Amino acid sequence: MRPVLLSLAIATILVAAACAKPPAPGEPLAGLDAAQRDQFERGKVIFNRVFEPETGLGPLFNAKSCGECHEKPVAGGVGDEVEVHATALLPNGVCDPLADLGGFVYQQHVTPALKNALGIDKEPVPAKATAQGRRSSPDVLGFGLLDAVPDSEILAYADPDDRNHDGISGRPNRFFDGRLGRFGRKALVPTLAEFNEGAFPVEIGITVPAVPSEETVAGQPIPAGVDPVPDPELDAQSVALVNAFVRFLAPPAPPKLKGASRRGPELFEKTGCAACHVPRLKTGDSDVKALAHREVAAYTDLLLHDMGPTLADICLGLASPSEFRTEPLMGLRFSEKFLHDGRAASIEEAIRLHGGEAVSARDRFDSLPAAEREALLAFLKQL
Amino acid sequence: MIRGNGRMAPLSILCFSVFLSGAVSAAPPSPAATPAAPLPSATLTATVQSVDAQARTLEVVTGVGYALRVVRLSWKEAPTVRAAATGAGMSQLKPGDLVRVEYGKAPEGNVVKTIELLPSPGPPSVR
Repeated sequence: MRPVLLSLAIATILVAAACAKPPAPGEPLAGLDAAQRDQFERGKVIFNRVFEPETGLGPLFNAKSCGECHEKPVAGGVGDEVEVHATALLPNGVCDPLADLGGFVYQQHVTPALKNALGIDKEPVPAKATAQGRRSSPDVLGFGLLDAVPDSEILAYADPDDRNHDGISGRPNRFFDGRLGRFGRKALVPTLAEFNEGAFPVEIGITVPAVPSEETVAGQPIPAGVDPVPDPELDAQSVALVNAFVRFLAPPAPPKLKGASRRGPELFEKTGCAACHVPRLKTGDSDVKALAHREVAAYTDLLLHDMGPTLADICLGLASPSEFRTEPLMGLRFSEKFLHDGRAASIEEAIRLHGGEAVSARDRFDSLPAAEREALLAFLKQL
Repeated sequence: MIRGNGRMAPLSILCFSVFLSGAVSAAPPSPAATPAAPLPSATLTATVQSVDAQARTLEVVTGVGYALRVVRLSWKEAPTVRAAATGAGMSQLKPGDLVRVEYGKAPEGNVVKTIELLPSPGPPSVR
């Protein structure tokens, strides 16, 4: 090929790449190969599969499918379900996740067979619990990229003793085997795959090969005959496909900032929001090319921060009642209620409920001129 | 924190080989096996929930995501707790400690072979 033609061809490819539309919500990441796209599509079917008692649902459950809680505007989006978590903070400061009393997620529904056997409508929270928390259903778009962020990237933002004296002292949570956590509102769970695999038994009552036993009813075994479906109720291949679907969900497309919202990123930095809601994280090595060495506009540091007594609820792992993982703001455009429990009806209200380490940023937001405050809110609504 | 209802069934059902970290090596089945044949063993890294030195029992918490499980272990002859600082006794373990346990799977339950106290991953949840 002549040099001129070659240059033209390369230029055409570059222009086409630059003009390529980012994936729409619910679509897979760009750059997946055919086999990965096939896994994505097959996994989506299982993600949306509605389980019934005869196919393994329950006996305790919060939802009948993954898609029931992650549904708006597409599979993997937000949901309006709110679940109940409870733990016990012991006098010595150690957090008891109530693992021998049904675990810290207390299911809000039971199958007819369990209701007949025990006469309950939901799992009772044990008296030992010292606190309860409500948890809304976030979107999971782009979470495969969060999964691919190396621990070292997260730890680089940690400053548990606030040595730089900026009033921000993020620290990592740890799972019960000591690994760094990042998923869940208290950053307990180390990997996306584990989060998904644990969600099947905990949220839907579907046993999987990695967790082949049902949840107990506040510590008591499921009565005989209530759940006759053999365990595991979902096979390893199906679990792997669901993992692929969630892992390969593309993050929300970057916002097209217009008008006043173009000042949003600058104001986000100026108010100090970006100290915890770190705009961009970098992924590391991955067996999936589309996940490796990418920037993800996550707006989180995946660390725990003290949010003050107003928001405090349960402890979990190393997290104190008032510590929460910085919520990723990517996908904020899909939310209708805000904060970990959905108590805020607007982004503005959510900001005003920030306490603890976020007080300075909140106050700076409040002191912005009205036009700048509106510009910042307009930006946030597009994330 | 030890519950007295003797509930072991859920844990027996639990498939340690998949659920818990570490490898499981099965003892070779042999009709000529003697009582001294080594027990199938496994290892896990988990957080101590309770220790009862008198009853010689230890409970640890582990799990997959939000699906948490308690694993109950016992010991016959008190194993030395390996730690960076000192060889502590089992009674010095406390809730919240991170441990790596090697245990044998005996008919009567999980029997601790060795236990290592790992560095604390962080301060307790109350700051």
